[in-house]
Amino acid sequence: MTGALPLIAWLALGAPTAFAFWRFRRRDLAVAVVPVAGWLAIALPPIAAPFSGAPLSSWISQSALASLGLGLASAALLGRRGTAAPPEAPAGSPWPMALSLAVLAAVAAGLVVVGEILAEGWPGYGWDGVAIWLVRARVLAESDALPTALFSEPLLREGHWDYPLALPALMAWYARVGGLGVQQMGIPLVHLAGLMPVATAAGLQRSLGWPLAAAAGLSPLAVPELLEYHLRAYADPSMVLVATGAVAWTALGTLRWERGPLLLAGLAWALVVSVKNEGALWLCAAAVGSVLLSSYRVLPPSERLAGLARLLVPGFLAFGLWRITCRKLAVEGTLIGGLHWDQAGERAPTLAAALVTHVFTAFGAPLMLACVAVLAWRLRGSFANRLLDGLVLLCIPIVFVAGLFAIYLGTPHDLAWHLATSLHRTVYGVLPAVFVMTLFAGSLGRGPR
Amino acid sequence: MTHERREPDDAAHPVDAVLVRLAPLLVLAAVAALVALRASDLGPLLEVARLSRAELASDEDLFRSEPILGPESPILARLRSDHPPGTPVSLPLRGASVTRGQRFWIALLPEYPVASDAELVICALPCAEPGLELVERGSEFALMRRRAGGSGAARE
Repeated sequence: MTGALPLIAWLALGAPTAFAFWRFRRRDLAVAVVPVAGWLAIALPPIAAPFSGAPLSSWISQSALASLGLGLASAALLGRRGTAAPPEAPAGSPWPMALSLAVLAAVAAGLVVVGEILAEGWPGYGWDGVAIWLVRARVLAESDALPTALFSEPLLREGHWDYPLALPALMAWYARVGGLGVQQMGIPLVHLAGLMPVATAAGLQRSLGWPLAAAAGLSPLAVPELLEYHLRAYADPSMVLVATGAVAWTALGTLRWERGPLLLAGLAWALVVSVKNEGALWLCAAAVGSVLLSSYRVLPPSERLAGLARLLVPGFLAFGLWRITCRKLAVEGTLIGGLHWDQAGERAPTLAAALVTHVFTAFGAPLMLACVAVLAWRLRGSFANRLLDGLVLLCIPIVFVAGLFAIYLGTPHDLAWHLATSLHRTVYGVLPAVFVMTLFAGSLGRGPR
Repeated sequence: MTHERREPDDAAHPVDAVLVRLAPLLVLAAVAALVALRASDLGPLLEVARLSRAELASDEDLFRSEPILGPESPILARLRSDHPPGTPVSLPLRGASVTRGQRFWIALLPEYPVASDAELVICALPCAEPGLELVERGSEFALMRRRAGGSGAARE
């Protein structure tokens, strides 16, 4: 299998954090955290390179150190007072688990075959892949030091050098450890698409059961065009694959208020903001969502704050680190800086129509309506209570869409061009997030509210 | 809102019990079917990869292929033959040349850094900057050299 060595090394880098989860009584989350922590350990050295001054030729040893650091930090955050896993479900038939694992394995195996075929011919890279992500992957793979002059070079401005480095870092890891070339960069992408559904499912199976957990994990791959754009080396699908897990673990952590899922979600949010700038929007949605979701729990203020810190601090740290790195590299930001609002009134109706079309039509109106129906059916109490609970459960995707609306409202580009080139892939994550929260609504106990 | 897993035993009625056991498997089957449907959309992508297999044996072949440099490949070949890695190249892009010109980035970086004030220039024809001497010509782009104190349109 092409890229087996870098894949094994990636998973090995996640092992110390997984051991911390396993040691502190969260064995159910240990598998889930492996790809997340491993990818963070791979991405940290190049992001910190302008400050550490460490050469990229020692990337592997730096990643090993980052991996140990993540493991120790996780142990410290998990272990002080222990963290009990939810009670084991009574042993039932093994068939649901076997069937679910078989489906996940079949999808992963199919993706590996697709990756092998793409790696032997023209891989189908799109504009973002060729002009943004693969350029950076090549630079990271072949440079001894981060060539800081590139990041602020005016002639490269259209290449969005302020975008974070986690995805090209993963590709460069495959180049350095496995000797893969630009042509084979579909391989890390298919590994990612095969691993993240397994991780998401593994982290949810104890609460939702294996079949629903596997469905949640696979839900991003069911979104139209996501898989195709992923293989064309666009970064948005990679972000959604991680964000789906992050949304699910955030729901698990906030509804049960357990430090294991909260920390796992926190690490995933750190990865989401390290993959693409829009990850910051996801993180803000998670911040609003987690505060609202946690309002259903009666908690001492200190415990509430500590939980929210586990969930949100890693993401804000990762975001802050990259912004400081950008400042050090003299890179101009392109996410917020150019927004202007003088045409907001004229744009709002066009934009609202485009968003509704994409979210409810292009992404499967029947599925979205089914999700809303399940929410309404499963939640308890009066209509007002059901509506309120439904809005709270869906607040992460709702806040994300609202943030997108604001960004498109103020875009410095022509609105029609900007929507045509990016809207479909920026709203990829909405359907999986709605689906995951619907599954949580379905798992809530019935009875008087 | 409490969060307790709904176990099959929660369903009092036998029909409910069957539904509670079957429903998750049906949801998984529906999602798996959707994933299979999306995967079938990859057919054209895989077909192109299969057809181009014989032409692409390395990254150099990939950079020379039509989706990246195509007819501009002689520019890269000339640059590589005459100038060692590390030589900076200026790559001004304007208007219609932007998308095609950006394809040079992946072929040049990091061996040939892009720098605004470099002596060598890759520009879309006709190059607007005065005082350039033609080194190599592609289809829509050319490799030029800036002449010290030169003026006038690019010579071809």
